[in-house]
Parts: sequence; C-alpha cells; structure tokens
Amino acid sequence: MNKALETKSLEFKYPNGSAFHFPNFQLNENNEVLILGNSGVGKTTLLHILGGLLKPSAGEVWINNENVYSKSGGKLDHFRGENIGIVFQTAHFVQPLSVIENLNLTLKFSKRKFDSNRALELLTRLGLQDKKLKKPSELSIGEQQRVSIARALMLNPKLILADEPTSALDDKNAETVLDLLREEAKRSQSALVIVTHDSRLKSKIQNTIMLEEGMI
Amino acid sequence: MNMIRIAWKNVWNKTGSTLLTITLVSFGVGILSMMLLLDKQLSDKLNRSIKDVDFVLGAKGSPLQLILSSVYHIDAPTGNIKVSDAQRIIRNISVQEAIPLAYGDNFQGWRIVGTNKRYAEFYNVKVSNGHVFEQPFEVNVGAYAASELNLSVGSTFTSTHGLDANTNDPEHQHNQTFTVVGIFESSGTAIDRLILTPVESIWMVHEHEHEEGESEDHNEEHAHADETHVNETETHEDTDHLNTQESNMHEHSDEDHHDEESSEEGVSGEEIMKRVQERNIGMHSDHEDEREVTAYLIVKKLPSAMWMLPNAVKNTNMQLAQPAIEINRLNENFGLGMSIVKGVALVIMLVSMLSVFISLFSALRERKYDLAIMRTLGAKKFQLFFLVLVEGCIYMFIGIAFGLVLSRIGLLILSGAAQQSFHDEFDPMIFLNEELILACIVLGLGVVASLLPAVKVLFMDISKTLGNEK
Repeated sequence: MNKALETKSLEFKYPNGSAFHFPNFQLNENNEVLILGNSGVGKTTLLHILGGLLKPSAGEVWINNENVYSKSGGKLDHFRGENIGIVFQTAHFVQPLSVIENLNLTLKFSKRKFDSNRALELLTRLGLQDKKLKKPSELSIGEQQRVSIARALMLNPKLILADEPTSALDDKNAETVLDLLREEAKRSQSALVIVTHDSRLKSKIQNTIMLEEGMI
Repeated sequence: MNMIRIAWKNVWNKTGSTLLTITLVSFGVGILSMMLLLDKQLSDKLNRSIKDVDFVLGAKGSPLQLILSSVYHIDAPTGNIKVSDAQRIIRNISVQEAIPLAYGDNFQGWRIVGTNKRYAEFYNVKVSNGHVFEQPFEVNVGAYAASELNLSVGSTFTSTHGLDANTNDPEHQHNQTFTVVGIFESSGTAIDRLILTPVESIWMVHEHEHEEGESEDHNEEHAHADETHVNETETHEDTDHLNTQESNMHEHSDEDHHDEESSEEGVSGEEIMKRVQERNIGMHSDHEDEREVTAYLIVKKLPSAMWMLPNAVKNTNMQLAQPAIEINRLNENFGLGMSIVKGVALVIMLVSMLSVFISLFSALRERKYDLAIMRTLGAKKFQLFFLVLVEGCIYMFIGIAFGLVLSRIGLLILSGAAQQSFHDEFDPMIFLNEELILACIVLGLGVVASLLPAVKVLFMDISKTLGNEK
C-alpha cells in the first residue's frame, strides 16, 4: 500500500499569537480518517495546511511521496490541482458558469489529459445529470455539496479533503453526502480526510484523530 | 473552457453595472471619434477648396466671411465689387490668374455662381456628362447638386433672387430660364454643390433689373418702363406690387452706391479723374462700369504679390483676404469649441475608467470565493490576474465598438443637418488611423483601471478567504 499522506511535526502560528501543534499521522491509499475537535482547535487550519493552501510555520506534509511545501508558486498550485480534491463546508463555485462548466474548469488548470465525459459520468452517478446546465446558485444546498464532491473527484486525486462537509445539511442529506464521499473516494483509490465536529459522522468512520487544545 | 470565456461570463454576470460601464465608455469613445472624423473631413474639405488660391478679392467686410462665402460657399457674401475697380488690382504682373465669382441667384436654395470656365479647370473638376457652358444661361451643375435637384443635361429651371430658397415668394422669381448643358463629376470640392454659369448670365439678369429700378426713379420714363415690364411679365397679376418691391430694393442699393462713391472721392480725387477720362475715351462702356462680381479668386505668379496686391487694395472699398490665414483663424476659434467638447469627452472617459475600476473592484469582493476556489483547483495567481485584466478589457472592447458605431450614427445625423443648411454631407463610413490610436489608448486605460483589482487578486490569501466563513 502506498502512503498517500504523511505529516511530520506540523506547527502553525497565527500573527495574533495563537499557535497550533498538530499530531503526526499517515494515511494509505483507500484509507479514511475523521479529524474531530471542538471549534478553535485548528481543524480548518490543519485542513488548509494539508490542502497546500496554507504554509505551516514548521513541519512537512508529504502527499503521494512528494514534499508539498518544498514547492511554491505556480508549481504548488499545479500540484494541488492535480493531487488534492477539496470539499468545503459551503460549496463555492464560479457563479456565472454552469454546473458542468464548473466541473470542467478543473481540467483547464491541469496538464493531465482527461476524458471530457468524466464530468457527465460523475454527475450521472450522483444523480445530477439533469442539472448540468443549471447555474450552481439554482441548486439546493445538498445538491451544491454533491456537485462540489464531483468536482473534487474530477481528476482522481490522491487525497480528498473535506472540511465540515455535512454541517450545513440535514440528517438525510448529511448521510447521502457522507456515503457518496466515502464511496467515490474508494472508487478512485483516494485517501479521504474529513475534518468535522459533527458527531453524526463518528458512528460511520472508525479511524479518528482527536484534536485538543492541550496540543498547543 | 478558456480564460477569455470565463472572463466574458463574469462580465455579463452583473448586467446592470456592465451596461452602465459600457455605456460610459462608448459615449466617451463616440464623442472623441466623432470629433476626429469631423475635424478630418472638415479640414480636408476646406483644404481641397482652398487649393492654390492665394487671395480672394471682394467687398470690405469680414475677411473670414469673404473666404467662407467665395471659397467654401457656405456664408453670405460680403457684398459686390465693381469689375472695373477689381481689374485695376488684378492687372498686375504678380498675378497669375484671377477667376471671377458672381452671386445673386439660387435654384431651390442651391447657389448659382457666375464664373468662367477656368473655375472648374482650376479645381481639376471635369464635366462627366454633357459639355462645359458656352453661352449665358447655360449651366453646369455639381454632381451632388444635380442628384439632389434631379437635374440632368437638358433640364431647364428658373432662378430665384438671393442665396436662400424662397421658392414660395413669387416676387423674387426671375423669368430667365437656365439650361443645364453639363454635369460635373464628383470631386469632394465645393463645386459638387454649386450651379455654375457664365458670369454674364448673372449680369444679364441683374442689369435687366437695374434698368427697371432706374426707370422707377425717373418719373418721365415711368410709363415706358412699366410697359416693358408688363410685356415681360404678362402672367403676373400683381405687377404693381412687384414694382414697388423692386424699387424699394434699388433705392436702398443706390444709397449704398452713394456711400461707396463718396468715400472713394474723399480718398482719391485723382482716381476719379482717371476714371472719368477713361470713360470719355471710351475704354469702358457705361454698362461695363456698372458690372459687379462678388469676388475674384487670385493665384499669384510672383512672390511680390504678397505686398503689391495688399498695397493696391488700400484706400479702395475692396479687401484682399488670404484663405490660409483665415482658415487658420477659423481653426483656432473652432478649436476652442472643439477642445471644450474634447474636455467633456475626456471627463466621460475618466468616469468610465472609474466605473470599470469600481465594477471590477466590487465584483471582486463578491467573487472572492469564486477566485479562491479556482486557486484550490490549481489556477495560478497570474492566471487570475490575467482573468481580471481581460474582464477590464472586455468592457473597453465593447465600449470602443459601440462608441465607433455611435460616432458614425452621430455623423450621419450631423450630415443630415449639414445637408439642410450647407448642402454638404459627411462620409460616416471612413475609418481613421487616429481612431485606431484612440482605441488603443482606451484599451490601455482599461488595463490601467483593472490593474489594481488584478493586483489585489495576486495577493489574495486563499486560506483566509475560505476559512473566514465560520
């Protein structure tokens, strides 16, 4: 089994003085982990560091055997686009573009050659094929979250990061979205990291890491 | 899915502010491009009409008015000068040639100019249909006038006194019939909108009137004159009324003559003596002495004309105007008005730049998630920087395109107005290099206006943007 993700003594200090020290962990392909913790323990900070969006003050993130923060600028952007799929708490889209155009946007920023039917295939699997020409804003919150999962899966990333993907959803939608996320991550052989304080998810995923304030 | 398409969609995502911005840009560009087109076409027309005319000799008055009336044929003439007086100036070794112009009549508002064959030759305008006039009352019609008046070779018409159309006014109608013997080719000069006839035609029309006028003054000839008049205008029922009008008119012009002559006497007694002698010897018949023209276009042969002619004109009731100088002066005066309009257009341009800036900047605040998401999908900073710049340019591109169309519509309207008042038109379908430069500058302004929002995108903190939502 290949290591999809490994963190080494990650630290982050905000300019206002608050600092986080994160536990080391690693994740193989096809594995999943739930990172739990109360508000303010740095869950989102950790997720952004894992996603190549926020450079840590110290420590290393290895994804697919590459040291993420040894890259910078355009190289890092490109690496992120190709290897990491991120699902945020609130789904954000390029508003003027249709659902299918938003999915295909991922191909635009990647140098990898991809099947142009990929977007439609994903939408069909998520039951959204008839919404493909709609603007994202015309979709329900649950549907938007499903589209953002589809977008995260577009390039078969090594790592899928989900930041509170269910907190804005009701029980039924939360379950649908979580199941989708796990199923699709398995199908594309991706490692899945879900950051949440949503206790509804605990019963589903056994592998958990608890972030606590004492870690500072 | 390329960046330009994304930019295009972004621009049209907020239709209201986009339309406002584009409207502002197009008005700015439209006004400026219309000024360029007008300026270019007006000065081209003026220069073509000036050609090599060094001086215009005409009655005292505004020199600019003299130039406009006799070179460009748009203003009223300053008055008439006696041919005999003018000859003394023109017969000078420094003069290459002098072409007479005599005004007095119009046909449906189109000016009939009495001149000679040289006038058209001077402007290199050839008769494309028919032949050049030979006899009095034969006319050649300019291409534009001919098409507007529906005149062709063989057409006949009667003229009206004055320079403006007064066709409803039978008192000003003459009875002489002019015959079209030739149509000029289109040339872009004033000839396009003129009706040319031998100068003798104008003299004959007006001598005839003059005789009538004189006879009104002399009671003993009254009966006789009335008789002739009735014979000639049998069809008129209100002959008396006509006579009164004409005599009034001529009393007036007689007064003018007195003024002119007395000033001449006051200035130079010798001159008058010479003329009396000439008359006695018989060099000039009485008729010739009374003959008048409106102006002479003079081309110099020797540089000495520049001082000899002005000297010769001194102490006469004539003036010598230089087209080049007067048109320069006109441009200066006109230029002031032009620069005010230009200033207004520039202000509009600046406001539109501001509008581009504001719409990009405010859109940025709403779109920060869109942009941050694109970054997480692998978009590089400079791709988004470029995206914002392209959006700014799209506003400008559309604005420029509409502006250029707008200026042509404006010119078309103006051309309609010019057609009514000057019987002239502007060509809205030309494209100037200056407009290309204008377009480039406006595009540059668009880039400058979108630079700050674009730079802001460069320094966007994605983590903060996406993490702030909680």
